[in-house]
Amino acid sequence: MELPRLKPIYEKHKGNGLEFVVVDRTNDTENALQFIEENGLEYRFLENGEEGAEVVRKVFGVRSFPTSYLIDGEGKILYAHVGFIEGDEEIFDKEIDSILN
Amino acid sequence: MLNLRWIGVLILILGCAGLLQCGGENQKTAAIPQNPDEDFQMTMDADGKTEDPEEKAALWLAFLERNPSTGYTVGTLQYLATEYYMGLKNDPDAAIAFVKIKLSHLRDPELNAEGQRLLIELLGEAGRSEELRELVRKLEREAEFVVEDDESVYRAAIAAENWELAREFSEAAADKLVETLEDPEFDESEVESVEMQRSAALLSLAWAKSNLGEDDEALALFEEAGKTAQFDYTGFSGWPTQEFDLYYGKVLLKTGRVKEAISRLGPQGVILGDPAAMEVLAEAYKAETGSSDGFTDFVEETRHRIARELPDFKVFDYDGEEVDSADLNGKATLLAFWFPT
Repeated sequence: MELPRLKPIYEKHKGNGLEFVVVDRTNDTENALQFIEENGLEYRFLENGEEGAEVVRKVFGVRSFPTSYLIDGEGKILYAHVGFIEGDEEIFDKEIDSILN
Repeated sequence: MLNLRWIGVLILILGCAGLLQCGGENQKTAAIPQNPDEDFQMTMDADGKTEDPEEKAALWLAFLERNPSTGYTVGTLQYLATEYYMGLKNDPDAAIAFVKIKLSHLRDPELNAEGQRLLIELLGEAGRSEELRELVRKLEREAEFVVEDDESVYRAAIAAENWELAREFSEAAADKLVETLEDPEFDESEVESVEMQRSAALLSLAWAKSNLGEDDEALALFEEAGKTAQFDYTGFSGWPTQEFDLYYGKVLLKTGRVKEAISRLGPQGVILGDPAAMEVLAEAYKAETGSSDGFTDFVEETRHRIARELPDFKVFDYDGEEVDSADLNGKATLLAFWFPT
C-alpha cells in the first residue's frame, strides 16, 4: 500500500509546509480509521462525499488507484501520478522539491 | 466389522486434524495457501513490503501443484509468469516455457482460453512475433476460443511489433464492436464501455497502420478514437490510455505537424511525467526550435500554462470538520486518492 510508503516523504517535507490530504474512495470510514491507526498515519483524511457527488469519481474522474496530485499554493495541479511502484518515492521527492521552490 | 473399521478411520482422521491444529498454533510453519488472493494479503507486511519473493514464489508453486486446474490457477500462473519469471528473474523465455507446461494441465476450456490469453500476452511482451502469429493461427484453426476480436491478440501484436497481425486483429475488433453497438437488442447502459473498447481498438489500428506507412489513415483513426475521450490528465478512466497521446503525438511529429504534437504530448509528458512522452516532446521541441536549448525552461513554462485549477468540492474530514477545496489553496498539497486494504 502506498500510503505508509509516503511516510518518509511526509516526514521530510512536512516542516516545509507541504500538506498531505487523502481521500478514501470506498466511503468505509471505519475500515480506513483502523488502517490509519495500524499504520500510524498522520495525514489529513477527507470523506469522499455524498453519493452522486463523490470527490474521487465525480469531481476528479479518477478510476485508477492510487492516484496522487501535487498542488501548488495557488491551487494549480502541477503534477499527477497514477499507481505507486518501487522507486516512485524519488519521483515524488523531486516533484515536491520543484513545487516547494 | 466394516462399520467398526470405518469408525476407527474416522477417529484417526479427526485425531490427526486436531493434532495438526495444535501444531499449527504452537509452531510457525510455512503455510501452503488455500487461495492465492488470501495468500497475497498475508504476505504483505505492515510496511507494505512483500516477503521474500523467492519464498512467495515457492508458496504459489506449491499451490499450483495442488490446484492444476481451478479458478485460481490462471491468476497464479499469471503472477508467477509476470511477477516472478519476467519481473524478478527478468527471464521472459522461462516465463513462457513455464506457462506452456502448466497450460497442458488446464482441462476446463474456459480456463484454458484464459491461459492461452496469458501465453499470447507473454509472447507479445517477449517480442516473439513469429511464434505469436503461429499460436494465434493455431487457436483460430482449432476454434478453441474466438480470437478474431480478442483484444489480447492485438495488444500482444503491438508489443511484439507484428504490425500486420496488429492491424488485422484491431480492425476486426473495432468492426465487431460497431456491430455490437448497432445491435437493436444492445443494452444502452453498456454503450460507454463498448465505445471505449472500440476506441482502444481504433488506437491500436492507427498505430499499426502508421507503422505500416499508412499515416493519413492513422491520423484519421486517432481523431475518431479521441472522440470518446471523457477526461483530461486529471482523470484516468482507462480511456484515453497513456498510449493514446504518445502514439498520436508520435505520428503528428512524424508527419510534420509539430505544434500539434507538442500540445498533444504536453499533459502526458509534463503533468503525468511519462518518460516516453517526454522523450517525444523533446524531439518535437527540437524540431520546432532547431535546438534542445531551453527545453527545461519550456517544460516548466508548459507545466504552469496547462495546469488545471483544483476543481471545487466540499466534504467533511474525519474529524467532522467541513472542508472546502478553496481551503486547500495557499499551501502546497499532496492530494492522494486511495482505498485502504
